[in-house]
Amino acid sequence: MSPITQESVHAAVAAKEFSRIAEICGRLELEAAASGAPPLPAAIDSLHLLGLLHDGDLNEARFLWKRIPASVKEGDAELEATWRVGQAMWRRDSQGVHEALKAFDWSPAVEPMVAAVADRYTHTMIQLLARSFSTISPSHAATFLGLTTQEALPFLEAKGWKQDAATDMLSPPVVQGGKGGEAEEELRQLAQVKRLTEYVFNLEH
Amino acid sequence: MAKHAVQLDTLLASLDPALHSLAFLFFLDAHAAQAPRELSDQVVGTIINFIKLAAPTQLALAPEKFASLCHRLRDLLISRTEFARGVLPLHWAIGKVQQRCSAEHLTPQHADCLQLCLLAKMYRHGGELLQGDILDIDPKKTGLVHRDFLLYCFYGGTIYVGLKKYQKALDLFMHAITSPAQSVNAITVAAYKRHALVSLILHAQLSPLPKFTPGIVQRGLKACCQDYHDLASIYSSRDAAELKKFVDSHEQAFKADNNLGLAHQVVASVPRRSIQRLTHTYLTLSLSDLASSVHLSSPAEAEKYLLSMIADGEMFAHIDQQAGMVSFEEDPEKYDSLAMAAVVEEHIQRSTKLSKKLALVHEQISSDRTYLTRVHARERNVRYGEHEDYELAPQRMFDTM
Repeated sequence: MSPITQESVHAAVAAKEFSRIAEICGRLELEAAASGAPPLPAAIDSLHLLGLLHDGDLNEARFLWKRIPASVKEGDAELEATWRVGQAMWRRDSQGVHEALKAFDWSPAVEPMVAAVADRYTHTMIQLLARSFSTISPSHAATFLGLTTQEALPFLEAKGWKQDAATDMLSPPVVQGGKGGEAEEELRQLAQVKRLTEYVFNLEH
Repeated sequence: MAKHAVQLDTLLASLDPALHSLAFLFFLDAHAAQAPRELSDQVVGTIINFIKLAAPTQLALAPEKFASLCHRLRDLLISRTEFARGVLPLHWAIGKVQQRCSAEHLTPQHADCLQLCLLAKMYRHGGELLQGDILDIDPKKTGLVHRDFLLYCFYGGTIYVGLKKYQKALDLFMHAITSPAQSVNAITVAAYKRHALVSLILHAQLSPLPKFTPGIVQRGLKACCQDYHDLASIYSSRDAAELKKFVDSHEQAFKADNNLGLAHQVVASVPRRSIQRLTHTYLTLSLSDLASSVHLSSPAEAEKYLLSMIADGEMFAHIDQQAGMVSFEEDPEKYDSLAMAAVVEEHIQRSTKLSKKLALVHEQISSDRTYLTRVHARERNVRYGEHEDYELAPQRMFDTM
């Protein structure tokens, strides 16, 4: 495997491979530690932290924050701002998450990752609201999405939410079960018949 | 070798770690044992470089020595508080030992690597290491001793606790507790205490120890884990305030066991458990009733708990904000999707692999000399049934004399 460098991290961000950032930074951290090199720069730590928040791995994000040396943490406002996003996510404070994401003037190296985290978080919140509420007021929904009440209404209606004219409450769309394309189905069925034959063979012997 | 410490340095410089791995190993181990503190950085660097380059075929000739070297590396790094530095090298070490047996063999280096992962707070990496199925041990090929196995289970379980994979943590701790033993040791006790706390979080009660737990361990554990048994009795009352009072009053004891954080998690699990119980009794409930039933401060706090439980997949429910009610529901999964079929298939494949392995182990034991001797001896006694009584009688006579 080719060695991971700090450039690999920035290249992955530029290529919008946001789901790989946590893995790449994790490997970089291990390799840098094994070679006895000095601690990684705060920019890489910020990207690592954001990568974990993007994946929703809040446990590892917390541990990463504890691992980062105090000397690196205290000097860097951006890293601290990243952690404030993580803290709000840990406390499940959606309003706090959106505020923390918007409050800081992110550097160009880190900004695309922050945008990806914001998108992913909003998407997750919408799915959670659809699973958890049969009716919800626009103002309450707005707090989860980091929008104002006026913005929340058209935003959710565009995603299939319906507003009741009498009560002004929003209801989530009914979810249809998704199935793969027909050709895909056939291929999978053939493969499954083969596998079932193997299982029965194994059970007989 | 100990007498010629000074020459070891120059000797190591003239050897190639890749070509002369075996010799390098012995000299390096001796050198590391007695090198002064000021040289520890250099020694660590040499050991790490050696692990990277050493030839697995040569290492296989002296597995205990390699294990000893890796333990020294771990100790040096702990004394230098450079925990993360050893994680990747020990990972390489595991790979080199496993090359000569299989990827499913437990090695002494597993416990060292997991310990450093814990100290370095690298839980994700520790979790990845634990994902590899361990199905075999071979002390001759790996240099494994009983302690390494116990530590693997204890550190592995602790990592799973950090990753909140509680069932896997319980399984590993249980392996440590039920491991054959002549006496109760500190690792088993520590594993039992953590097992107890995780058991409360996951199952709301202590599970009884399985029948195959060594008798001496069962008796020993009762004596030294009284605080934990008391905590379990209070937990059954579902009174979070009472539980918190107990943990606070026994703070020093839990702290000494490094279990204070886990004890707090036990207290924090009570509201969720209480809400879970409500789902068994009610189809719908008002948020304010739920809040008062579970001793939460407000309907808003109740909503927060519900949302986090739904997000974590612990329950299925819909909140009607307008009416201030929550309706509890069944798992909507109908197990008829392609994604679910893929999950079931993966389970079947793992089970098939495991059953093949089990068949192999069964064959190995069936042809093992010691086992066959014992079985034949017992069969002989059973076949001549009357003789069995005669054999016991004389012994009884001697016992009463």
